[in-house]
Amino acid sequence: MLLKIENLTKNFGGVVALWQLDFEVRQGEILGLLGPNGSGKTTLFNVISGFFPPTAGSIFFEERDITGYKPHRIAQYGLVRTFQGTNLFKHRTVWENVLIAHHLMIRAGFLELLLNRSLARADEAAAEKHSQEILEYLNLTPVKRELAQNLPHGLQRALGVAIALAAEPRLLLLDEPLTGMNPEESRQFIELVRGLRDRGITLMIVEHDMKAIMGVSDRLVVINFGQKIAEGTPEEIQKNPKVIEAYLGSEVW
Amino acid sequence: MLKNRLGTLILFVATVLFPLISQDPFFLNILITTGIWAIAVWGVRLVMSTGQMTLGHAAYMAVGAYASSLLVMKAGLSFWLALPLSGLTAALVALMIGLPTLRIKGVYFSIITFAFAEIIRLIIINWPNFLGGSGGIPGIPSPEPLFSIPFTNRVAFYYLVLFISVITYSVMWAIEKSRIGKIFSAIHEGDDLAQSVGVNLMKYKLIAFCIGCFFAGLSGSIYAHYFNFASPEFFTIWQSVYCLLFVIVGGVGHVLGPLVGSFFMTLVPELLRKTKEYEPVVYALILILVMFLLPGGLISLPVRLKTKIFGR
Repeated sequence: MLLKIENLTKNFGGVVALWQLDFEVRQGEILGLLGPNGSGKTTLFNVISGFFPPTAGSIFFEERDITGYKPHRIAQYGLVRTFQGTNLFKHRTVWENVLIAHHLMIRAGFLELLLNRSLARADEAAAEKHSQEILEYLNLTPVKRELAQNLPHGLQRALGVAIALAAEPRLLLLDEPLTGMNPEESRQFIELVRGLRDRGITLMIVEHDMKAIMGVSDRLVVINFGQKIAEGTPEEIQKNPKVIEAYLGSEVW
Repeated sequence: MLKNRLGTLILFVATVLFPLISQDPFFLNILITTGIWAIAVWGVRLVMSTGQMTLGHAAYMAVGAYASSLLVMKAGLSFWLALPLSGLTAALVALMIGLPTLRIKGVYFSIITFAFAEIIRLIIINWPNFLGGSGGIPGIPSPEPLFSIPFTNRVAFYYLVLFISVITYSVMWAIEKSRIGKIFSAIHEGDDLAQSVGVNLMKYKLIAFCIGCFFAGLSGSIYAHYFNFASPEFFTIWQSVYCLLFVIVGGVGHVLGPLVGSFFMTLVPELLRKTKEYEPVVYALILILVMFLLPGGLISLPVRLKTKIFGR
């Protein structure tokens, strides 16, 4: 069991965004997180990845209690998130975006790198090799020299994943990756997600697009008004009356 | 790349040889003042490189000036020891102020740095016995002779300022080329993104802030022992604004920007002697002109001219 959420609660002043959430993410699975607009999905992501501290409850990643840890520390432990509405280094090229993500993950000490030139060179070579592999894997090599801001939507999302992959995550949280994608782009992205799982990365995906997420997830957790209303396989969820009620009237159906 | 290196080398040689051509006190004073500002402005540029717009930089110059004066006059230390210690004192104060404030971003950070700067200034004014109060500290001695070279004349001071400026420039250049420099610019371009791949924001913002304020402290120390006087009037919000102004006018994007900006902004009021009282107005006009005509700062002028003349 890779990630365990226990009794997770988050208040913003008087607003209860998350209430006593309990669920887990199992090693090697793709977990879908569903919920109507405003149900707390992005807040949940922000709390899990450390951008907001929880008001109550615990988060365990690989048996380690990471409750209240800062985002950078959680990322260093192998839990990496992407951002809704893509977050990229807009004025840098695709290549630079992925390469700089490696530079940000310092393994050797600063002074060590300054003094030990051969270590620095080996480090740089490894970073470049890994960046190249990531770009090839995500079919971003053709646009390697393009500025991030000039990429079409689907490729920008892929680049967001590429940056996250530089951090060598064991659990990758994808925040609404399909937003604004056309059906073809969505299809390609879902394939990408499957490929990532095949390479041993566990994934938790927040998404609106019911059809796509049902198709790719092993299990689903559905939340509404910050509370878990259902958990199970896609077949179970589709028949769940509470889920149907939550989405009734929403254009998603 | 080679052109840049050559240009910098020429600049360096020119500055080293300058006193052999002219020892005119007017020019030397301008260059020394330029250097004193440049050292501090290089520091403010480093802080800005992590996306933190500090409006309190002059306070760290004050810390450096006062620490240096007190170490020399009350504790009997040599200036040569007081100089680095003043930088360290300023860095220490920066650490204490940075810890609670660096988590704040944008204009709110600017406001709070301004507030802390005013607090420092008010502490100085309200402690006449120890810190000289609003009258300042007069009679700060010039640096003691080093290797039998006396420092009571401008030429020696010029080389002192040049030496410290070169060190400051080298440190800034090295940081920019290093991994830490890449981390600073990533924080500036997208701190959420940087955090999500493992960058400890607080740690790196603090490093930039403390190093930047260290150089402000050095600048303040040199200032105090050159003008032989320190006063809270020299370290107000105006001087903090000037620090930002000089780097913007010079060019934030280039590591020589602070030097170019400090030189230009020191030179212009001296040339327009009659309008000395209107210095802020002159500065404001220059800022507006630069922002409209040369957004990259004065340092982008050669490149822009070349493009205009030769096309691209």
